[in-house]
Amino acid sequence: MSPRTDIPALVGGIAVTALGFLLLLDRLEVLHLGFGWLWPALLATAGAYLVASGLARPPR
Amino acid sequence: MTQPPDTQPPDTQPTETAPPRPRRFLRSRRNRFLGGVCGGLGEYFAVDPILFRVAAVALAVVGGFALLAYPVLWIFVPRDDGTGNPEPLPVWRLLGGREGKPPSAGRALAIVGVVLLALFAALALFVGAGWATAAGGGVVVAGVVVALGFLAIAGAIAGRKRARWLVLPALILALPSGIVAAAGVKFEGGYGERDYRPVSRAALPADGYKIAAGSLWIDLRDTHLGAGTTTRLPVHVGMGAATVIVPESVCVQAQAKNGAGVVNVLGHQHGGVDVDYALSGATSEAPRLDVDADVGMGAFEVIHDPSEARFNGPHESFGPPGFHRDDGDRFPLTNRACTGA
Repeated sequence: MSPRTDIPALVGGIAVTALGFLLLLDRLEVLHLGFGWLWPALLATAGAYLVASGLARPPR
Repeated sequence: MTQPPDTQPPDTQPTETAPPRPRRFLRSRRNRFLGGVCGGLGEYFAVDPILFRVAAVALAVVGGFALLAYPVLWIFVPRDDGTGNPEPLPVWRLLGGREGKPPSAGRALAIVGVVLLALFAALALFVGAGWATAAGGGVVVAGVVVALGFLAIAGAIAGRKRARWLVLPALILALPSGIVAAAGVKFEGGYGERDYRPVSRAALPADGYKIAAGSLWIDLRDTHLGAGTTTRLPVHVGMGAATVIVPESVCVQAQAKNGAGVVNVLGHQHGGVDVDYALSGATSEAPRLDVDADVGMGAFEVIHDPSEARFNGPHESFGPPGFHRDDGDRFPLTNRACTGA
């Protein structure tokens, strides 16, 4: 991985892509996305991005 | 605001470990967990901030008052600069204000305009994504979310920090689209209030009753179903409420799904998300009605008398969400036609 790679953007991008695929599979009726799956998926996406942002922040 | 009296004796000097008590309420710089609001209150009233934190959590849980008050205080109460004096508010600085100098009206207006425009764009994106998904364009919305994700990854690998901002619109699109998908909301069948009173089986539409958003009122009390027959009644509601009124002489069998809301079939009430309720077990020769309800978000009920309606019409009252109960006392289960009792 290049040292220039922006980790929060990378993690956020991967999480959002995964979420998008989940929505796509639901719309294509490959799987059924209920609320039981939706909230954890959304929270995991936002959480992954926030954790990556926090870890990437330079120490004070 | 009344200022607290200075309780410090004139002949004592403040020590370095005990900073001066602020003469006005400021957000604390040292004693902060989130925005320093409770810490500031603790320093102002010279009590342990934990008391305010416990009160804030209690007020957040009971009624949610703290959830509104805390952000307001965070935004509009200035922070202690470390000497007991207020720092300029972040909003003030954002608008171009400096210490002793107010922001220029033009710059302030421009920034407020940009913020309002951004909020409006986010709202439009949010509503548009939900609407498009319900109208059958969910694949496109999901595709855009995936594309934004790929762009963010590509930007990240190229070392562009600005690529992080692509995550925000992707989430704004994904959230309503996901809610609509999870609830199974489909915009088909029109909008508004519909009142149906069919008089025979032939008058029932083969593909059932549908409404995209609004309320359905299906009164079958005058519908001749015929002994020994089974009539299937599909009901589709995107967002809203549907009420089916059946005579007591009809045996009701039901399969009801609700993405988010309440299902009440002859007193058997289930609420929450992903509700899936089935009522079966008919043994009699009474005319049978097989109700197949599919509700995205809202309420579905099967009752015997219009006065029993709670989610539609003049008696509607949703009650607390997420509850499960059998209202055997209030609305006695009178599905006796199924057993011939």
